[in-house]
Amino acid sequence: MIVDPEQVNFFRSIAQREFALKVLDDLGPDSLEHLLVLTESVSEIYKHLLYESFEEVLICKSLNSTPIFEFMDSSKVIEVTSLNSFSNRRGNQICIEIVNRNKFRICIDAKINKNELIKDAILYQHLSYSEEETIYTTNSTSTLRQIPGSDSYFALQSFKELDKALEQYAIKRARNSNCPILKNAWFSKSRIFFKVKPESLLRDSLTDFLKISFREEVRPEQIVDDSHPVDIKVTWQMINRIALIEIKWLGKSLKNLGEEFTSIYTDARAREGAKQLSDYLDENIIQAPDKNSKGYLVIFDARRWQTNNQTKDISEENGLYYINSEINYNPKYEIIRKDFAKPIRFFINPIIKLN
Amino acid sequence: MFKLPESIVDILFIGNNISKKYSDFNISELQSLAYLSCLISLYDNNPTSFWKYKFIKNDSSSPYSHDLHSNVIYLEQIGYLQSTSEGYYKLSEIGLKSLNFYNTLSTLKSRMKYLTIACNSIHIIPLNLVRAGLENDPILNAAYHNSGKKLLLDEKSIALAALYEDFYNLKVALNDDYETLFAPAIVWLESLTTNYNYDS
Repeated sequence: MIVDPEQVNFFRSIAQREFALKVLDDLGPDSLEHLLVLTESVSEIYKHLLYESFEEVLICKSLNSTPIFEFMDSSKVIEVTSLNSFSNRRGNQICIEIVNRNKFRICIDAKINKNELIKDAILYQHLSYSEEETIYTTNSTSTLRQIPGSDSYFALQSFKELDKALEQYAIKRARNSNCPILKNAWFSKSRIFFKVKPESLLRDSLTDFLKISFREEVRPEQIVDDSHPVDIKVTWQMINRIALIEIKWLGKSLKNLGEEFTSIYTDARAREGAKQLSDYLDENIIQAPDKNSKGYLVIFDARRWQTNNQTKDISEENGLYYINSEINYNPKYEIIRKDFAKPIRFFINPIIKLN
Repeated sequence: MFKLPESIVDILFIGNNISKKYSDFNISELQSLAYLSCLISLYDNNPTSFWKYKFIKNDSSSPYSHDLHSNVIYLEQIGYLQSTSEGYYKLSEIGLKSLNFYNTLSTLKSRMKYLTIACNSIHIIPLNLVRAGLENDPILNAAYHNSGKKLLLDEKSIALAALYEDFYNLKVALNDDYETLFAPAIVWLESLTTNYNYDS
C-alpha cells in the first residue's frame, strides 16, 4: 500500500492536539483508565452540579492512591458518596477530587491553584467567564472544542423528544444566532437581512444541532418525490416513525447594500410552507405507507419593521417588532390532520443599535 | 430460529455501556457502536468475517444489522432487556447477569476488546458526535448517495479498499507509539468529526 503523506500529516496533527492522546503521551498507557474515570465522572457530576454558577470548576483524578487534597486543611474538605450531594453546592470556585466513581472530595472557595493539583493527577478546568474547558497534566494542556448550544463538552444534551430538541435549538442557537453555520447566513453582522438564498445554511444549522443532540437518526434533505424535497428527515428505527421537517424563512435577503432585495418573505410564506408540507405528507403516504409520518414546519423568522435596502442599523423597536407576532395559519393543519405538528417559529434577534 | 451469540453479546455489552451514560439506549445508538467495534477489529487486521454478522446502509444512511434488530426484540421478549420508553431499553437484572457470564468467556475476549474500545470512546467524544462522524467513514460516505439499502464492508468494494488505505495511513502516522488500540480509534473518530470542530 502507498503512503499518502497528506493523510498521514492530517492524522498526526489530530494526534498532537487531541486531549486523550496528549494525556497518554505525557503519562503513559496506565493513565487511560484514570482519564476515563475523570471524563465519565465530569459528565455524571454535571448532571447534578450547577457548574455554570461557579467562576471556576476544577475536577481532578489522582494517578496513584495518594489523596490529592492531602495538602488541604481537612476541615475544608467534604467527602461525599452520592452524586446528589453536588446539587446544592454554591460558591465561586469548586474543586472536586474523584477518589473513585462513587466517592468524591469537595473543597469550595479554598482558593486552590491548579498547579498544586496536576503534579500526580489529570485535571479538568471549566472557566465560566470564557466558557473554556481545559484538560491539564504536568506537561500538557488541551483546550476542549466548544459545541454551540452546549455549556460544556461533557454536558451535551441528548433529547429523546423532537419537540424538546427544537425548543432547545430555538433558545440556544437560533435566538441569538449562536451557531457558526447560522452566523454565516446573514448579510451583515447586525442580523437585519439574510444573505441571498440562506435556505441551505438554515437547514444545515438545524441538522447539525439535531445530529449532535437528538438521539434518533437525522438526515438532511431526503427526497419524498422528485419535485418535493423536505429539508430534514428524522427516523425512529425501532418504532417505524419518521418526522419530515420543512424549513421556511421570513424577512428579506440582500446581495449588496442599495440594491433591490432578492427576496421578501412575509407571513404568507409560512402559510405556503404549511400547504407544501401538507402536500408532502400526502405524497409520503403513497411513498412510505408503512411509516408513521409526522410533518414539522419550522420558520426562521427574521422579519424587521421599517427597513429598506440602505438599512445598516436597527433600533430595538423596529428590530423586535415581530418578536411576539405569531403566524395566523389558515387552515390550521395541526388541528385538521393528526400527522401535522404545530408549526414552530424561531424568531432571531438582530443586533440592536443603542442610542 | 438460530440466534447468533455474538450479536446477543454485542447488544448486552453495548446496551449496558450506553445506559450507564444515558440511562437507556436505542437501536440506532447500538447499531452505530457495534459498527464502530467491527471497524476497530478490521484495523486490528481481522477479516470482515471475524464480526460474524453483516451491516447494511439503511434508508437513513446509517449502519444497520438485522441480527441486532431482531435480537433486541428477542431479548426484550425473554426479559433480558426492559423497555424504558418507546424504542428505548436497558438491561434487566437477568440481562446483567447474562452479560457478567459472557464477560468471563475466554472465547469472547478478543471481541470484548473491540467492544470496550468503542464504548470507551463515548467518554472522550460524545456519542452523537461519534455517530455523526461515522457517517463520514469511507464506507458509509460512499454508500450515502446510493438510494435504498446497501451491503457495507463488502470485501470487493472500492470503499472497503479506501477504508484500509485510511487505516494504513493512520498506522504510519501513529508509528506504533501507543500500546492501546484506543489511540488510533480516537484519532480516526476525531478525523471524521472535523466538520464539528466549530472553533478550529
